[in-house]
Amino acid sequence: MKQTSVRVPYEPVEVAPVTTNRRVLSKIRTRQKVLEAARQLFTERGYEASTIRDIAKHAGMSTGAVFANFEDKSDLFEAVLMEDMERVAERMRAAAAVEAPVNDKLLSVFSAGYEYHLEHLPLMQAIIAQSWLRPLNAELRARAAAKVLLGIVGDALRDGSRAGEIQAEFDVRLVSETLWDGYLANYRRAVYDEWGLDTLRARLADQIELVLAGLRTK
Amino acid sequence: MGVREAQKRATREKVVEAARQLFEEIGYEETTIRMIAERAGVSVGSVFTTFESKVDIFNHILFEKFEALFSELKQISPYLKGSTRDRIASLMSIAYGVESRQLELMISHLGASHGWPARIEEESNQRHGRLLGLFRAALEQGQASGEIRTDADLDLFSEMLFAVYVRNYRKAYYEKLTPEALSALTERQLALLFEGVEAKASA
Repeated sequence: MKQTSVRVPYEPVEVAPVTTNRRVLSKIRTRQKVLEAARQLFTERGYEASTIRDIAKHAGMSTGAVFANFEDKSDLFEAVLMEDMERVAERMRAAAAVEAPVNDKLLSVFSAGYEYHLEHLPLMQAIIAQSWLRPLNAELRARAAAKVLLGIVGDALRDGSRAGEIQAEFDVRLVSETLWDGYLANYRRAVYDEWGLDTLRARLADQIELVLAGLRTK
Repeated sequence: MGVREAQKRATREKVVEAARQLFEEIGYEETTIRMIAERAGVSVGSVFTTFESKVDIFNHILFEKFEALFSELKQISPYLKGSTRDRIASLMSIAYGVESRQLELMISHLGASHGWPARIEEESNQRHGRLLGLFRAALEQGQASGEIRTDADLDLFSEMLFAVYVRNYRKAYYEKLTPEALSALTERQLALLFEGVEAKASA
């Protein structure tokens, strides 16, 4: 008895970190499994038709295990969205790293987005639909993530400006957001008119030209 | 009109009004047919005898809403003054003014529009086509007066205008922009876009 009471203070120091790590790791794995299952169902069925119960079943765990990791379906959806935005950001950054005239670079950056999202269009459709329906705090979080993507577009514009292709002084935010509006609007055509990557790119190239036309130095 | 017809029409009106209130109050997604029936004071079954589904009720409301907006814009458009850009800015401002009176409904509309069936999308496209037609008419007038370059792609341009116009409702909603602030933003967007199509004064 005395021995155990003496050992108690040491235990957390020596043993606890290991179990915590293991527990943390298994929690991360569970979370990842749930996320994957959710992504798959959202992609196949859209947001509305995917239930937590189905997602849990798909992940091979209880609904309780899902709720231990995510507050509700919208929380889960947001996690999928954030993961998507990070992946798209990575691809867009890679596209922006290639030296090219400003219009080509912008086209590559946006095309990276199209390429990624065309692979699971229903999910993108759900993402855009939900973007109109989320509460303000979720909107603010999504905006912070979108700011990263817009930043990549903004940097491409600044590069073009430094290279003397477009004016030195312009409203980077306004131009980036206007391009973004066109980029997003085209997803409708992908969904309802079955536009593929080539058609999307061609339309976007025209939109980019249109927006840049007013900013060209010559 | 027979008694049955009259009854059917009365039910329809009650259903539409109840749905309109609910879509505005709690949003399209959250509203169920059961709630609509309850608010309208009719049975769930009779909702379904007048409309096929929730999205059809919504589409009907959007149709009425659009007709009201469109007739207002159409009436005003011949009297708009100023450059092409000014006239289009005015059209958008008027639309923002009208829509911001029921912004929740507009947001529900735009959210639902990304998941609704193709038949609704087709009807919706026809409505948007008519709105775009007003933009286009102003642009064609601008081309005729030499303000807009004759080689400008008006389809591309009016679609881009529309993309910007629609996305601005997001800002209005989430940033709580007043119709005036929204119009100011539109002015800047139009200035940017028109730069690309305006005929430059030849030196």
